[in-house]
Amino acid sequence: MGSPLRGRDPPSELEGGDGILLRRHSSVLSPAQLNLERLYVQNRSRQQQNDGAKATEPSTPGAPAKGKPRLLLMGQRRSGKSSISSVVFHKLPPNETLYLESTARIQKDSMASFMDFQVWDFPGQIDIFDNPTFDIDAMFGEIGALIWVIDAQDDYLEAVARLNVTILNLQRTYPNIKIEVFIHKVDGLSDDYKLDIQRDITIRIQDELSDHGFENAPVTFHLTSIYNHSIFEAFSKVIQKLIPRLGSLEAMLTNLCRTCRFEKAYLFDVLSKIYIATDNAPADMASYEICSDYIDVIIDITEVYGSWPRSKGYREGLEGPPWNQKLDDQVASNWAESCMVLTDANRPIMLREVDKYLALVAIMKDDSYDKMPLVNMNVEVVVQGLKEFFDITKPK
Amino acid sequence: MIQGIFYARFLPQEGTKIVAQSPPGCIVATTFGPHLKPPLVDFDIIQEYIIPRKAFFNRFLTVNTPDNKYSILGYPISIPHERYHRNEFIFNFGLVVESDCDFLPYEKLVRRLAVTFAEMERQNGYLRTEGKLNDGRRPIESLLEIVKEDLNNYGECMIPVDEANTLNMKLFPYHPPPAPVRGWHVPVPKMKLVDIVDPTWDLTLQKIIPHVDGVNDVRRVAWLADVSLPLTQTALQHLLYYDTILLLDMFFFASCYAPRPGIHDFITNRDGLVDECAGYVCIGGSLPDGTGGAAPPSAPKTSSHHPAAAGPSTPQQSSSVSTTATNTTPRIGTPSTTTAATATGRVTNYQLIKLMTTFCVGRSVMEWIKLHQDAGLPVLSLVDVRRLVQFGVIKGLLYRVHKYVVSKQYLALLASGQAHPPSRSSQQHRRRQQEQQKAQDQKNQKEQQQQQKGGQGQQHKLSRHSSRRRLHTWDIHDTNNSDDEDDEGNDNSNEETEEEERERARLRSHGKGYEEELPTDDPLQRYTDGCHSFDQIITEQNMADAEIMEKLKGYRAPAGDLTVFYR
Amino acid sequence: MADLEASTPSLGATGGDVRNEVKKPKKKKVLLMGKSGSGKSSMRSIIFSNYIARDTRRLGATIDIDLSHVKFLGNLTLNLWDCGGQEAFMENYLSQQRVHVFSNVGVLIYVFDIESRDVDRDMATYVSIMSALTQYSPTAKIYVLIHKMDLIMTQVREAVFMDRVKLVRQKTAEFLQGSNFAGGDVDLTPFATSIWDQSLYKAWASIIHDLVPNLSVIESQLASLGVLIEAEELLLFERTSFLVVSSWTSDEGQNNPTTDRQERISNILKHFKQSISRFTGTPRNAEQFTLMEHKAGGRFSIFCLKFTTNTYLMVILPPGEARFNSAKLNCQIARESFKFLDGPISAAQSSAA
Repeated sequence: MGSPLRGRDPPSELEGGDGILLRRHSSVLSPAQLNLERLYVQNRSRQQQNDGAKATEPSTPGAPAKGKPRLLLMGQRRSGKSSISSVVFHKLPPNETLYLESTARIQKDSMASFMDFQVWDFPGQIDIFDNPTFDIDAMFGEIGALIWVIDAQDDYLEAVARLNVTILNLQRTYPNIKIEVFIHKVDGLSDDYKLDIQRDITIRIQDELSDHGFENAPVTFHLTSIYNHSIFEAFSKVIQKLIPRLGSLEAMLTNLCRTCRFEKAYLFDVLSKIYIATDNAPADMASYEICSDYIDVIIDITEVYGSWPRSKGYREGLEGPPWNQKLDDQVASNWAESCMVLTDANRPIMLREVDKYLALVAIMKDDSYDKMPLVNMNVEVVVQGLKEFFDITKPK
Repeated sequence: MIQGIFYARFLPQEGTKIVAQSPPGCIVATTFGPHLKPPLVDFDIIQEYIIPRKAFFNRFLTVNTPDNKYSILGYPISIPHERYHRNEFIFNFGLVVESDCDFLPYEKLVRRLAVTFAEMERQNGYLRTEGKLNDGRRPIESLLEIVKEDLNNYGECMIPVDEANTLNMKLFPYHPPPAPVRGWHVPVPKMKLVDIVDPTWDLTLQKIIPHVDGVNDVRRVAWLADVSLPLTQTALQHLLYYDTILLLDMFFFASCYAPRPGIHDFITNRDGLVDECAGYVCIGGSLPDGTGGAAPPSAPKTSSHHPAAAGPSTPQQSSSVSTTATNTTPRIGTPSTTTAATATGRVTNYQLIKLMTTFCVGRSVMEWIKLHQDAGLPVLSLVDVRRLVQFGVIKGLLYRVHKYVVSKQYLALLASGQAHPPSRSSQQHRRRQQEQQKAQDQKNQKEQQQQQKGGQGQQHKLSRHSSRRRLHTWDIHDTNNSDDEDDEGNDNSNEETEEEERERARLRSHGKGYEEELPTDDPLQRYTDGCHSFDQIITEQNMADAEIMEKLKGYRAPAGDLTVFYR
Repeated sequence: MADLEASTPSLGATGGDVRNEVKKPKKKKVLLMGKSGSGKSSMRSIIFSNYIARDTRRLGATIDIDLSHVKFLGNLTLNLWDCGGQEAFMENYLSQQRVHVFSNVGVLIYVFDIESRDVDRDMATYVSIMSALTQYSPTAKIYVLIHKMDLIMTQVREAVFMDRVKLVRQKTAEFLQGSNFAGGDVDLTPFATSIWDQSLYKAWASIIHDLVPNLSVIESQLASLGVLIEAEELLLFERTSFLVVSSWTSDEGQNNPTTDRQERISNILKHFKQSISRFTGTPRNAEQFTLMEHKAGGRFSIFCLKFTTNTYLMVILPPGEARFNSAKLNCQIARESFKFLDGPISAAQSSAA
């Protein structure tokens, strides 16, 4: 069993699941990482071929595993779909997305995360409703959400028109599909301009829908950019809609924040940096960023010091005097616990691993480092609660 | 003189580089052709000041060459922008001038060059594309040459740089800010202002210039020109700024003058000073007025442009504010006496020097005249005393000894805070009242004089004059109909009422309400702090010297409280 | 816990001996030279001003010489001369300012741009700089940084670097032979660097490492502390640059396969300092955190704390709650023995008192 926050368990190095260890902080480049990227590219192209093969065989539509929610990424050509999935799910540094080639086939990524979901990246030039080879039903039957990407720095009228067609087509058959519109590439635009665009697009779509008699279609709009955390934030909101009983989850976190006087707590999916729940205090980008960056720090440090096995003799030595205890008994918690005290107002940021995929990160109140043991106890209880929650809600 | 002009740039690879210079080789030696002179400056030493450290960007910079012969004036500009390699465009347009000249006019040029080209660079990349685009524009080198030549030869230049921009520059000589003009100053023109004035001039200036004759004091100029006093003062300050007028004190026969060290030049007749003086002051002297050349330039004007200055009206000048002056002032320079003097020819230099040197503290002009007349010199028939004094003051031979009054009591009150110097508003108010009063008095006095002296023709003129005035008044009243009835009511040609009405109307038209006279305590008290000369009291309070002394004597104060002193 | 009381005095004693020797502030002139646009100011901003690589795009050209005094560990002041590399300036340094620039130099850091098109000219400039340096400061240490290595394809990086270093060495040797340099061979240390990865930290950490006085004392003290608290590794960071000044690694820690871990940790923490600065709105050069701890279950534990005024100490420990807590306490106690790192500051304080 491997965890990005604790490193590799020495006896378990032969087990599978190491793949997720190999995600790195985007700005730290080393020869090792370059190798990784090559691996990633290779895998990707191989997958692309496979997917392509699948897509051309309509009779066997990549039969999705039951209970795997699916995110469909759609939009015009060059609107940034592949960049989004590379940045969010493959940790590609944003400035390297310039070199991504345009996607020719449907690209399917399976995310082995807290909830297994699939991301399908559709090439912009394919019109699924015109093409009889696509099995619409297979495609949208188990879809979790449709993400439509619109390039805000381009002329978006055509994109909006196509989106309208798509929504109208889908609404008739699959009225439950959630439609998320990412107004993308908004970095570099002024705040006023961003809001103007958002308003314009919103009005265009809602007018069209209400003309066809759909008054409250589930369409949500997000302003996104891969150069800051907004894309993660948007994905977080999308994913959160797919979580059953999100309310209870949020209530738990809110309760924790109240008890321990946290300023803000996030439950993160460690690999994608998507937060699947937060407390009911207003979420702001700044606290999200610092928490997400803190996860990176811990992952990176763990990679340096937690990814190599210590020798047997050494470990035995540590169990000798003056401790005279099994190493496993010496540790207080088997899960990663971390904390950093900021100089500014002596504010601690704490992190606690929940399970293999999830971590709880919270910004604590000023000067509360001294109460850390108490906080840890409370967090422990909440973490147990979270685990039970996921046990119960796990799709059977 | 601009010795050299240059355009320097900071290039990301090469560093500081002179891109253009005029004359060629003035900063760095050029490779083209032989040039006669070595560069004016050592570029290697000076270059770190041509493109200096960041802290010195966007400000005016002067640096002297090590031999202190030349100064380099520059204004290094940095335009930060991503489009430039290394994110900055750094340049400097500079001038080389002799280090002992006045930099102020050149500073403006350097700033203008910097600002203009920086803006042109920002807007359409003028400097960036310089030498790269072939759009028929003038190369910067020849532009600089024209700038330098025009400024050196004409003191200004107007050079179109591209279709939208023109480089307009002028070397403005620097004048210090002029001294404040007071109501009791007498403006003396240094040139024939009336001849050079044209209709494009400021309206106020046009109105007052005919009255600036070296005799009228500022307040009188204002009154004669029918312009408010502050406006007159501002206008005169402009003339003063351009060094076209002098400010002197008022001439009274009762005032004192004393010699200054400059009197030695007069005694030794340096540069023909005495002869110049003779030409200016002698009545009917052999030298014609106009040739007074270097002499106070007011001379020709006084006689030629203002009839009042000649002969009979001269006494009026001395009595400008005094109601009593009419009869008591001695008359000088009447035409009849001049003819007598002409026969004797001009006064000798010896006599002039003697006259000039006998002024002293404690001797009023009147006493001085008496002194000489008693000694057998008919001063009044030989020289124009006013001109003599004026000549002395202008040439720095004499100074006016002013008269002040101090009240110990008032000073004590001021010091203890029980009395306060009058505030600005109340002062203004008072001044307005005084102005009115004075105007009225002067009017009366004028008419009295005219009536006394004048024959039928003058009378006629007066009536015409007053009828014109009345029309004028009526015009104004038309806009203020409410007062009309009143006016018609007591229209028994009472000039006083009319004058008052007119004054009031003028005040109203100036947008200032007329206020009833406030009950003030003794108006003279505020002058008794020793900071106000009698000239000021005379003009502001509209009283003659004697009258003031009389009033001061009646001042309720312990004996010995008031001291009059001269300085 | 009992053993730490016994051991601290001994630590203190070793510290006490050294304290007298290191009181005087040492000023070393560090020349940063190279052709214009080769990245001198960029690396300086990254190392000493906490810029991140992206920010350096906004920097303008350096005009003339940018002098900065970088306080290092309190008693070491780096007198850093960032020399604008424009041709006009270079000529000026070699003529007008020759004595001024090249006398009393402790270290010359010469930066070559690997992308430069005119290598011959670069070498010629380098040789003339060397001639001035050997003339006025024959004992100066020389570091050659082959910069912008990120622009070279990964496969050939090593080869290109070795090639260039060979050329530099050859030119240096030719020059020394020609000039009959009395000081024998010149000590020249090459590094391949890029602001986009940790290679820059590696080079600078090594330069700084060489500049730190009484290094052996620090190292021996770190070693005794490390053994005492059963640490795997100790890293001593300088406060502003977050470069590793000194470190100690246990025998077991030597087996860590990540050899560039010091630079990577510097890089990770510097980046996170940026994030904190954005979050709290404090200036990026300010001290951003006082303590960081991470207990990775049964694998390892780590903590990083504000150590002395100018340093942070990072400790990597085997797992164990009790071990972790006592190590933290021990490090806090050991602070006293490392106070001498802040040399003149404490001296100034005592004299003021």
